[in-house]
Amino acid sequence: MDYVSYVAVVICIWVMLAISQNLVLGYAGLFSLCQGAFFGIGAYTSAIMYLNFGSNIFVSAIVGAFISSLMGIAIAMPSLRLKGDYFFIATLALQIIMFNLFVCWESVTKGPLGIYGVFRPKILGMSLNTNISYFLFALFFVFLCYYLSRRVCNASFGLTLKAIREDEVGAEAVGKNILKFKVLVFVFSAIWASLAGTLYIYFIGAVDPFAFTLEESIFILSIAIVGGMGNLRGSVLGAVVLIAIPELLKFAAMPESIAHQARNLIYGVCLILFMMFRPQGLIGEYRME
Amino acid sequence: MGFLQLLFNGIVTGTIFSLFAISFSIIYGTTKVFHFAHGMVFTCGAYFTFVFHVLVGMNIVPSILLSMVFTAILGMAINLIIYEPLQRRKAGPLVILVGSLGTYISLNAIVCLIFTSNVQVISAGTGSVFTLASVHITPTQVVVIGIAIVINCFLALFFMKTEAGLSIRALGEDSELAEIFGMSPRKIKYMIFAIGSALASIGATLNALDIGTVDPGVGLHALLVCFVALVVGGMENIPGAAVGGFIVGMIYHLSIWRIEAKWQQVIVFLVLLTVLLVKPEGLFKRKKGKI
Repeated sequence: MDYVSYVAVVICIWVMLAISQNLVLGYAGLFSLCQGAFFGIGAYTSAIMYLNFGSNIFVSAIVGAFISSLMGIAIAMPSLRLKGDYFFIATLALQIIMFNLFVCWESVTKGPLGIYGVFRPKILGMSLNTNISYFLFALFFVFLCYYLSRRVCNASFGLTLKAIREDEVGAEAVGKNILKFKVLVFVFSAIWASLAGTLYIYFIGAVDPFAFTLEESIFILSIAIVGGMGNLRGSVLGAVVLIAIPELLKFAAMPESIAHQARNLIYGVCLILFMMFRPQGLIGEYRME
Repeated sequence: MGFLQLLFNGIVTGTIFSLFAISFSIIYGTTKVFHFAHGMVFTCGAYFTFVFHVLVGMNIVPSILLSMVFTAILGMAINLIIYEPLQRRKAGPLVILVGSLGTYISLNAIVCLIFTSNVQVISAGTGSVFTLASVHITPTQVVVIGIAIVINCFLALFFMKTEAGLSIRALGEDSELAEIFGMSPRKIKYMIFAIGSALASIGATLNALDIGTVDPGVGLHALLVCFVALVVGGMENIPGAAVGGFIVGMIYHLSIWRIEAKWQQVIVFLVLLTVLLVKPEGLFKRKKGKI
């Protein structure tokens, strides 16, 4: 039971990440590969806030979200000029720079060894030391994330994003400020990725840079794509499928390193097969071009 | 380290990086496929050489040649298994990019499963180092520069003079027109993938010999170098990519002069972002009709 709720918390965290990727890619049609960087900013900021200032989880979450939304603004600003492959390379550059920052900025991030000793938070006098209680806590955030994203996407904001995705010039012609919408959706998405990072660090208790590599960003991308783009339920489904199924590999008594590579192989093959036979994902509403 | 030594190391790395960039640019500039899986083509190129040279114990020259053949086959196989079916389904560039990412992840997992993700030693020691004007030069570095010059001359001749090279350029310029003139885009694409992958194998092998080891991460590193070189030199422009790769190699080593080596990659990517923001078409603008 403890193991099941452990997996459930992991799924919760990746649902938030997938929603954050889905907002940018599925709704706004911006191909970004830097969700892992926002995730890392959230995790590192929370860890540093906790250890240096003893701040509680909510304060760390807000500070982390603030910093990653600044990064979101920075990467969204050039999105008007950079299209397609160029924008992809720019987000890739952000991902690589952030990863190197986590590894190299040793005075703050402790370098490749990472930061240890973050304990589970106390909420309303209750300690979240069991996985089940932490799961309920994380579930609350997932619901918050899902509900707010849904509200936003069904409102005129989401409709405008879809309009921009389908026809940017057309959306501009009817008087929409494209840059404003792109920046806002990036900020919104960065906040959820950063919150997922906060949940992650308080759950695991330790953080090192290798959790936020390019591979991680590709993994988040595959959850969003397999689940279905332009549909938030798709992200939930994608996270459940792509995390729960490889977890079963653990019962096949493989060594950890082989299981890890087998998992990657599954994700890679999934991406290829979906692109060939169902590019919109399981229950997606948007077909990439 | 002295400035001259860094300058020389920069030239060696720069020539290797320009091979990386050319191999990527040949494919990207002509087929318009954003070939992310090229990263694993680099890795496999280095590992093929490792297998033939270290595990089988062959001489270095035949192992490089065999590695080129196998890597070319790998590149064509990726085109056959991944890109052609996607293009037949009228997939757009983003779908092909995601398919390429999937290929990259899968091949990476396969290489890690076969060879583990540990670092493997490919050449023992650096041989006899000789010193010229306080610059230490290893025989490998001389060979690297020599091979790079030969390949660049050969490529220039190939693209200027031979029919195959001209047809590749024609395809990159206008694939419909090329088809009207009786060329077969499908055949040319396979040729492009073969040449690009074989070049990637040489580049990755020279890089492995220069640093002395191979590991599954080299491909990603080479691929990132390609992106920076392409953006700096101008996308779809083969000589521009070559110069871009050279510049990246120089930045890599000259930055150590004043800044700690661990920040190399950050500096290179900051250069990339700056170029993207200020001059997205690259530093060397390409005239229509030139390579």
